[in-house]
Amino acid sequence: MWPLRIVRIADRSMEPTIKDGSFVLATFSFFCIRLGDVVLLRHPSSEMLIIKRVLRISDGMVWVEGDNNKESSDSRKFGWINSKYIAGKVLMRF
Amino acid sequence: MTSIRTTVNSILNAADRIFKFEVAYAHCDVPCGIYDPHAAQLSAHTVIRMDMLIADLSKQQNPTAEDRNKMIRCVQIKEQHAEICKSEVRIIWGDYFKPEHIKANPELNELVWNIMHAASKAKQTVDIKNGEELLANVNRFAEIFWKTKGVETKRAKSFYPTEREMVFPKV
Repeated sequence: MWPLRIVRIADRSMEPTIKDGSFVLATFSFFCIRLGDVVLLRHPSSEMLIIKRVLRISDGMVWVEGDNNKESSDSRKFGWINSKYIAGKVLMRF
Repeated sequence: MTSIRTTVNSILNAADRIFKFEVAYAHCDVPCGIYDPHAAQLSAHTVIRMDMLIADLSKQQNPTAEDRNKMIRCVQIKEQHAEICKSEVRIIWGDYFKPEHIKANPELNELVWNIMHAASKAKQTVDIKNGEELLANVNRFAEIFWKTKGVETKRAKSFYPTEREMVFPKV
């Protein structure tokens, strides 16, 4: 398995940081998530891969939100999620 | 830097057409704001109707292949609609209801739990009482939903062959 992957971003909730249709280079796993990191994670109920920014961390749980608050469905909706759902950390965007 | 990024983006776009990179969605769904318990109510009525038809078919002394086919289809539809009912209620409960709604309607979480179990029981059996229990809970769920929207409701006999009660918003 490749240690890194390229993922295409669909939709606008991480704008202006990451634009709809752009690509990111991300890890397949994570070792140390810090506040402010942009991460890929599996949605707790749909298993869909989503991209959000980590705004709070507490006891293995993370609070994530999109940068574009008006068009993001995130922890404000599904609450704190277990860090096990994090599927990688975004290293670079194109 | 911008031109390099644009070039890389163009290359990746071309590569995406060949390799089909994984897609991450910035949204987890579309926050369309369109919610309605009506589909859950219809499904609960359908479950009851299937129980009725299954009961009629069960009275056949010597069922033909056609009767057996109809029986299987009724069971299949009952299964599908019990699942649709669960799905519709889960979506409203998970996506629409907010903590303030739960606080104002403390029965809500238990009611949803009861709907999930009643729907499963309605799948497992052909006893019409289980379908009726599902409908009673879904009707109550509909009343709470409309209450949170400030819409009054009324209970009336449905126009379906089930002839059971339905909750209608007064709009």
